[in-house]
Amino acid sequence: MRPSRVTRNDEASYIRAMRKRHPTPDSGTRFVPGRSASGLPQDFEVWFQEHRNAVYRYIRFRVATREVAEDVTSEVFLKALRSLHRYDASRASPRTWLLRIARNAVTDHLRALKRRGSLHVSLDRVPDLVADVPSQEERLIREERIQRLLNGSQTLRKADQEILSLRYGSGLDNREIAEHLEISNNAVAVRLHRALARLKAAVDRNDIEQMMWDDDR
Amino acid sequence: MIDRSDSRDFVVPSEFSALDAELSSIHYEERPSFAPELEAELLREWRTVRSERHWPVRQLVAAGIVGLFLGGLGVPSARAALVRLADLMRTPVQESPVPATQPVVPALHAEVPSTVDAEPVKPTPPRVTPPEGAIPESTRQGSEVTFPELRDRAKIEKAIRDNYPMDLQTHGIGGTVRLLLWVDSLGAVDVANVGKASGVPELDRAAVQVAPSFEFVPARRYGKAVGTWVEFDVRFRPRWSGEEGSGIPNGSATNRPRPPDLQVTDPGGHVPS
Repeated sequence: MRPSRVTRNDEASYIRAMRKRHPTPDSGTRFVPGRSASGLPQDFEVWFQEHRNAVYRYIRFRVATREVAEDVTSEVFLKALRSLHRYDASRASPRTWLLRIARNAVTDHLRALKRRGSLHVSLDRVPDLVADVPSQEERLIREERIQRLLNGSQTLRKADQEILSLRYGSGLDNREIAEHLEISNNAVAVRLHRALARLKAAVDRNDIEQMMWDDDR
Repeated sequence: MIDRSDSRDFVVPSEFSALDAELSSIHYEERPSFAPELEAELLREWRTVRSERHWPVRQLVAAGIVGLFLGGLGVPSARAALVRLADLMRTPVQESPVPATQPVVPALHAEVPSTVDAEPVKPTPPRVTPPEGAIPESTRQGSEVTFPELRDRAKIEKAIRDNYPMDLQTHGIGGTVRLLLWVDSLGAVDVANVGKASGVPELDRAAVQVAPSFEFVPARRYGKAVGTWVEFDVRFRPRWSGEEGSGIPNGSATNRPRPPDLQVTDPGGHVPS
């Protein structure tokens, strides 16, 4: 299988052939020859590289600040590492497994915050969620809008928050969400539609309350 | 109108298209050193987890051996067998060669030379002594374990200099970034992480950005090119007062900063004289 004269193209086709020979539940898993001499288990190292972004974004969509998102993400991967021996590839793909740990970690975090009464996302905590824009004014407008969207999503039920985080946080498509939640594509479409409707209502309601409050001042 | 048929992706109803666009436009900016810091933390945790897991097994095995030994001493025939076993272990036996365990690749500490003009010193990777009972070298083809070596040191020095942020040079800020590089079997850098940060995030970022341009002669194990992790130190050191002591770079009419000072050490950690 291995060509005698190795070029970069040959390496790529070798890796493709190895993936075909050793399919994994998560088709995005990269084949890494050799052991991870950095010390981490090889599979975990690959999952960390491939799914860290999706996990981070999923969490960031649900929590108030970047710092909190980093803390919760660290917690997720530490938990995953400690329970790596219990992972069963036949039951869930690595990404699904990690996102489930993330969901539980976020739930625990939000529950603790609720006890302290501080779920509100403030305006100065969303600059990391706005891409570079030409003007400062436009940046402020976008930050305000994102702040309202995130605050609105905090008021939704957990299932709505979950599906919105998977879609707009982790960036999963319909099929991937269906696989993760173990429901049909159709059910995903229905849930997304309802979640968006509730989010829109919540944001509009908050906007109206804000306007009335501004008028009263 | 919702698309009720099974579809590959969710078709957003028109009344929510603006909301969908806003949510999709959320941009998630991560702190550049977050991933390397997290990876280092995971590594520390893994080492703790592994040592905790080994302990009960070791204790059980030790208890079993002691129990067997003490039990054996109590029975005369078993005692005699133990004595014979001890005699047997003392005399060397020609066993079939045991394949060497996979050697742990030690870190290759390679930094770039201290002065641009100096002859770059090529770090020699340490030889790995195969354990006893391993297949004799003469019977293995290309048995030596070799580590990745830089192909073009000058090119890498130039790339590092070009990536040294100018504002940090201007302010005299430097540091050493220890990178963890996955060098694949073709000698290309596939993954670059910060193993030990310099304390200056911009330097860490610069080092990680320039790492993919490094080219190595790949590691070889028993004659076969393999991928491996490599620790690689990149040191950024601004030089304001030149060696000439004038404070002004040679041949320069203006007070421009000189190229960064880059220093090499061999893998043993000694700076060559």
